[in-house]
Amino acid sequence: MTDYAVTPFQPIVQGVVTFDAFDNPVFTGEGVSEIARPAGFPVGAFLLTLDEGLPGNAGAVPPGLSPINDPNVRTMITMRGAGVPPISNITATAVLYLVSPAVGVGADQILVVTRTNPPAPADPVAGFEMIVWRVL
Amino acid sequence: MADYASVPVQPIAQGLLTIDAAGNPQITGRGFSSVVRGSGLVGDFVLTMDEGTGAADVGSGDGFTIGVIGPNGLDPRFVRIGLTVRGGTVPPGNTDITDRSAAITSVPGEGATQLRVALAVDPATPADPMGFGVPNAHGSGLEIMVWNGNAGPDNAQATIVGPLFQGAMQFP
Repeated sequence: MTDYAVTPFQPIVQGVVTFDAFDNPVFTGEGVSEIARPAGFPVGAFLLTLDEGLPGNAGAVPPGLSPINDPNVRTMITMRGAGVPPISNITATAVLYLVSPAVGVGADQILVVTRTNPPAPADPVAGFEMIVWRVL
Repeated sequence: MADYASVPVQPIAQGLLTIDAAGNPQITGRGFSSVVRGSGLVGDFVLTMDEGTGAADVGSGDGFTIGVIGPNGLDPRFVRIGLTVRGGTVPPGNTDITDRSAAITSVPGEGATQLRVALAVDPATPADPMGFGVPNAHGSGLEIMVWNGNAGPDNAQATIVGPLFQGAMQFP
């Protein structure tokens, strides 16, 4: 019979992304200092910049071998639905960790991409929740 | 005004599942000892939990009594899993993985020792989270997180007063 280990991972971001009256994304929570739509993608893509100012949070996580293979961070995203029942229009969600061009900084931005069906970028009708962990 | 209780959840494992150039699944992170294809086909993975030490054991003893240090796997009732796809080659980094699910494999008397994860694209077509050694339209890997969702004593037995997370003060 065996023992099964625990593993530490540190929450560095928690929040909810919603939209203002002009359909601009708004982040409410902790760990993100800025949210924007990346150029060329008016819907379905959200660029979040990690907050440098939080105690214990460097505003970045160590980069991996490539921008898409960062072993040091994990994210969980849950759509908020609208209506009764609260159905979401989003069928697929992806996340990427973008490395700062400044040498030695690491990944300081998170790109969240959402898609509907038939396949096309789309904003979630009622926003989404997210938690990001730095894994140790 | 009502108070809402906190609840302890214990991180057990975290990993990044990728596919190597030969088409074999790989897992990096902590808490998993191996990953294999469940059916030999795409989009079906069996992850085996890593054996730890007594000091780090999550503690689910015989009969799955929570809070007891014991040489056992997780109580399957309390396993919580997060699955997130890393973005792929469709700008700006989208994925076409639409279905993510997990099942827990338990060994009698030992608890949950394996997870089986399934991924698919619409309509219900199994798919890997990336190509063989390279990202593709499905993505560039799969993040997996596992918690023990009942890592502490029953909160209902604790006296909670005042703000959230504030325990009651006791004096002899």
